Amino acid sequence: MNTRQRKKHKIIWLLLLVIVPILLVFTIVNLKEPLFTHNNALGVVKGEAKQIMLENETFTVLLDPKNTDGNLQIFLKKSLESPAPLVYAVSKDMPKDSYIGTLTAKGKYDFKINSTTTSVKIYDAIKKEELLNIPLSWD
Amino acid sequence: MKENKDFYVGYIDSVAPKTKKTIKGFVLAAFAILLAIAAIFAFTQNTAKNSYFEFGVDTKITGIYHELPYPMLQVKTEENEYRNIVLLGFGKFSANPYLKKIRNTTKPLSGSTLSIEGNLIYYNGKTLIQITDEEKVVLVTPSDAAKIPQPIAMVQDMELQGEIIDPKCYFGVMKPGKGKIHRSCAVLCISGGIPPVLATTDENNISKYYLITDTNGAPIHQDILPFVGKPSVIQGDVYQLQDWYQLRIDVSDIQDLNQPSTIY
Amino acid sequence: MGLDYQTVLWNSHKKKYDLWIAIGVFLYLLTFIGITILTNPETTAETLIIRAFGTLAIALLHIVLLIGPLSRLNSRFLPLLYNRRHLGVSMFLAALIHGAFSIIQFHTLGNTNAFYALFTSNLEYDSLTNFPFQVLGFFALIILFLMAATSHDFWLKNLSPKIWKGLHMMVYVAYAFVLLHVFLGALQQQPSLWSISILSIGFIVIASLHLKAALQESKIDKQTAIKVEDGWEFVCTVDEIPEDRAKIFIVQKERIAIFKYENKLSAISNVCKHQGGPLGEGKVIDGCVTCPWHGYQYLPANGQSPPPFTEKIATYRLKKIANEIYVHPEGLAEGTAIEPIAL
Repeated sequence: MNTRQRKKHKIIWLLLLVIVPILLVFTIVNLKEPLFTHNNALGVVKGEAKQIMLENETFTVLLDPKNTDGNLQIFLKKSLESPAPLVYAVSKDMPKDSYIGTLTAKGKYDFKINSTTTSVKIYDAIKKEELLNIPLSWD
Repeated sequence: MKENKDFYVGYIDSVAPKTKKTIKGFVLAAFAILLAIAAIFAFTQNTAKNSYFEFGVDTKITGIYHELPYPMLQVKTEENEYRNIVLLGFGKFSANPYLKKIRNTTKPLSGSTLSIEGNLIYYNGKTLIQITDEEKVVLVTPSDAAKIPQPIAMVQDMELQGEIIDPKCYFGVMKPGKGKIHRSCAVLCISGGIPPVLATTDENNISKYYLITDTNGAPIHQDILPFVGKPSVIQGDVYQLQDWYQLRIDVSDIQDLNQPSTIY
Repeated sequence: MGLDYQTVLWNSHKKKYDLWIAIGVFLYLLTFIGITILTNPETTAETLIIRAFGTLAIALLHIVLLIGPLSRLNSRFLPLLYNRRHLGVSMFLAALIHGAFSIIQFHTLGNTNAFYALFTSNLEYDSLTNFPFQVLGFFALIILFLMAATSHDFWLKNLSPKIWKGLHMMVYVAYAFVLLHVFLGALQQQPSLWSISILSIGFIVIASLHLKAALQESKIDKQTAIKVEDGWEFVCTVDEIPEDRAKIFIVQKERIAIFKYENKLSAISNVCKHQGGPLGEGKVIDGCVTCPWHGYQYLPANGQSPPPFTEKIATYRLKKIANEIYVHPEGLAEGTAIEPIAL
């Protein structure tokens, strides 16, 4: 390197040493707490009277036989990978499964089902396929 | 500079032992740091969400077409139960270029029963479909205006906090599908006709989505571009269209929160 | 040397160097992609590629920038300098994959030309939080492209070393752009103490090494002659110069090198015609002064490269009084033969 190049290096580095830390510090100071948005898992509140019919990463399904207003609770903890999931009550007495509701976003879903229901089925209306069958025990 | 007796010449094969040692040390250190950096950057990524895009897979859906104001297909899933599926086109475009043909042959299009074959996009209770072939939009039954759903007024002057996103990317095609890095893409999508949606999450982690329109319920695209991809506070009138909310706003009622959004 | 358009003059060192670059790149990608697939299975392929190659390019850039000052501080790092440009081109290729996928992902398939969209989809050039960081990445990529495209000596000769070096010093501008691209981009959305630390520490290390080397060189440049006789400046005594090596001295603000070889002394310019390497830190091999950077050679008596090469450097007149060496500060025209001082 000759003197001229050495000088050019000095100038560039002086600029970098001043400008870069200032800008970096500025951006760091400017970092704000991000707006709370979608976070994967949903918190589940379980009552004592309820029994767990299913518990996995996506679902917590609770049954409370004594509750006459709404005895089935489905917590959808993660988005379900299904375009149109519907919930049906399956029972030996009924020839056809009885539609009880639609699952959409993450959240809590309350249903009232007959004590003759043996299982709860989740079925996709667009893909026309069964996603899940949850057996219920009423005792 | 350290006076070293060894001298390295690139085109001569032999290398002095001390020089070799220094180079070996450097390469080892460089590799260790390189892999540590790879691991750190990999581990500190946010977790991608399980939104879904059925790329390359065709599904046929049948329902009532309506534009209130964005093209959608009302698919009946059960008695009195409907899923309103947002129609989209290929790339960063709305469904309109793919509906041109059927619009010419079927007048009016709203209220007609159509069968559409396309690629489904879904996440968290919302479903959309990408149409890539206008031939796959077929008339089943001509228009019956009585079948067109009506938006129902819910709340006036509701204040909501969230981010304006483009639903195609957000609900499945891109991850992350919102935030600053994705902003350019969202702007292009909405500019191309894809409906803007406000995505909100409350403190219980429950998300709600609102299709954004102007105060008359007409589409907004160009005017909303400066606000896309940035957390904002918006005031507007909420309407419900079966399983979708609609937010009617005036763009001057959007306040920038000046906050970044987490990717997930 | 290497002036015709022969792509690479391969030798065993370059092959080994490139092999290690390939291994490093492969292991980096394997680690990043492997960890992501295992811990983040919902990730998409495009996002994974964009992040893997982007972070790889940053890591490689830091390594490239360390080599210069390290070589000044300890000549044992010179083998890294020898083939540094292959590392630089590899870094550019990683950055290109990152940039191309990003442009395709975020700017194409829309109703606007992708490059126009890159500059106009976000117009908040007046904000820090919302600054269109992708524009900074784009400019960094352009600089790196120009450097990679002209990395061959063919361009060094045809652009002239002065312009070529000026262009290649833009790597520092690219470095600044890359730092800001990350700080105003990914870090705004995925703020992580780790990422901030890695980049900050990287900058501090690179800056410190450059500073240390600069201070060292400044000291050398501040030297003045202890005594002057009749216009001739005193350099040193004969035994202060090691055999086949040189003593570096400053005349008229430029460095020169006085070589002792085969019982003779000659003085030449310290600056190699190729890329300005410090000839005075070189060695006489087979009667030729050999540059420590890339091995270019010059005959000490006349400053000319041995045929068939045509580079020429300036020569300087020496005088020996007892065992003291004096140099005349005015150099002669490049390639002028001077009778060496006999010892």
